[in-house]
Amino acid sequence: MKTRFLFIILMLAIVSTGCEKRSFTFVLDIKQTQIYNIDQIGPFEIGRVVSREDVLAAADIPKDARIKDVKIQSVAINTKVLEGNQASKLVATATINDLLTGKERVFEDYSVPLTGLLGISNPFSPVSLLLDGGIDALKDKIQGYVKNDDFYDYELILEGNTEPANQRLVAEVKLKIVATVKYEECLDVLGFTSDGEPCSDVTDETM
Amino acid sequence: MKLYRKVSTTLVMFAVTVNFALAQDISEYVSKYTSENGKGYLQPLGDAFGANLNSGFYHSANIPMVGLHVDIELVTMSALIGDDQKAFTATTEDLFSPAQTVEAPTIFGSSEGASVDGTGGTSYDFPPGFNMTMLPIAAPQLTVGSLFGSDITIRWVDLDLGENWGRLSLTGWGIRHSISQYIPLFPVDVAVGFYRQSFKVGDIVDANATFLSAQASITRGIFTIYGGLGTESSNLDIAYTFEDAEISQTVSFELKAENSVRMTVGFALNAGPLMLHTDFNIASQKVLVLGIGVGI
Repeated sequence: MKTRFLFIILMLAIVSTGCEKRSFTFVLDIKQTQIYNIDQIGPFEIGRVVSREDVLAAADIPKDARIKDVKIQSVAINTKVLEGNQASKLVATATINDLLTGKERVFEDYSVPLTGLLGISNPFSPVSLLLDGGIDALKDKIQGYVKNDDFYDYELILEGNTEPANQRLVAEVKLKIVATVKYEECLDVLGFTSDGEPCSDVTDETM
Repeated sequence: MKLYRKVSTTLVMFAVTVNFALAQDISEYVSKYTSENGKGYLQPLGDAFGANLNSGFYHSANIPMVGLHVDIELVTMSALIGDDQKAFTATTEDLFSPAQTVEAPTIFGSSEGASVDGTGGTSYDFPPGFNMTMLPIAAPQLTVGSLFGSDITIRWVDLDLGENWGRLSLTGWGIRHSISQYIPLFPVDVAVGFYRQSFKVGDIVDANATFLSAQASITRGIFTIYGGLGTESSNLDIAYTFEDAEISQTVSFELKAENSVRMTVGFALNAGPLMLHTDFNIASQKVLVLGIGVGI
């Protein structure tokens, strides 16, 4: 009987002091790829519309998460040369077109060699000459989507020409944008195991 | 009803060796890491978890030659997380340009994370840790003896955690044999023991641990001082399916613990059927053990 009593006391002590809600930070990637099919002689320009729904579908963010920050991690490009192509190099410019804030270039006159086997995609390679204005605009759009304060689509435009100019370009070009979302979530933990911050009841940034 | 939920949640948490780091969706923690970074991020978890599994098996080396004795215990093992387990050398992944190497938090490390800047306003955020000071687990344990100066110890849990996780199972056994029974009037009880455990959570977590130890104890009245030297090995394999809008791939990490030799020092109180014991395990991964139980 004494043993059972002691056991109950121990368990109640654990219950009363054990579980508490602590705030932890998670990092999640959102990857978006736009596909541009080009069959053109001379300059080309193709736009792809990206909606809030597209972005959120690619982000598995918990409903009770509090968004802390959004950053653009990388912009990458790949090509697949198709039958009929005569160009050996593509010079491309990408632009974000936001109805609210206008156009911003993400990168400009970026050379991409059109190599590889016909019909086989080359691996993605990072675009190394990115422009601050376009990256900031992309970041603002995605941040607005995940924070629920921007509901408008944006357009990602790819334009360019071949080098030398005006050769026949037949290719599939993909633009891949990786954004990082940093968010906080409250978890039940054993209080003595972690130095995590106690959860506050801030709800203004809650999804 | 609330109290019932709290009690049952806590009992389950303790009784089935679930701790919060494993109780959440692992893919959520490491979804950003799909290669060598993931191993570095999780390795301290493998070390701590393996060391925990190999702790708390004994609190005396006294094994009678023959006669029935049964101990039922709840043993908690808490790996103490050192500063050297809170950071690792990580490299940016996934087309980030230019590639950079930094000190980033492990799963036990800083909750602030680390970040580096790339070209054109891009940034790479490394996943933060959980700022943990200890990793506790608990297990129910049954020891039955004695026959020819030997006893056996069993740990066993089997629970269905739902479709996201599958079944959680802990199966452990150990066998001990008294050495001091062969040495008349020897002032110290001495025994050797061998233990094996398997811990699984669905197809996600698969851990195994082996422990061989030499144990000694002295009992005076209701007090026992005990200790031992042991050699151990353990592995923790974690696998999950990583999915995004484009791909679905299985990512797996095989984490072999760095622990190999440990020394144990402990103290036990045997007040009638009630047993309380605590010990400290000194190894590359330090573990504090607390146990409570009844014995006949």
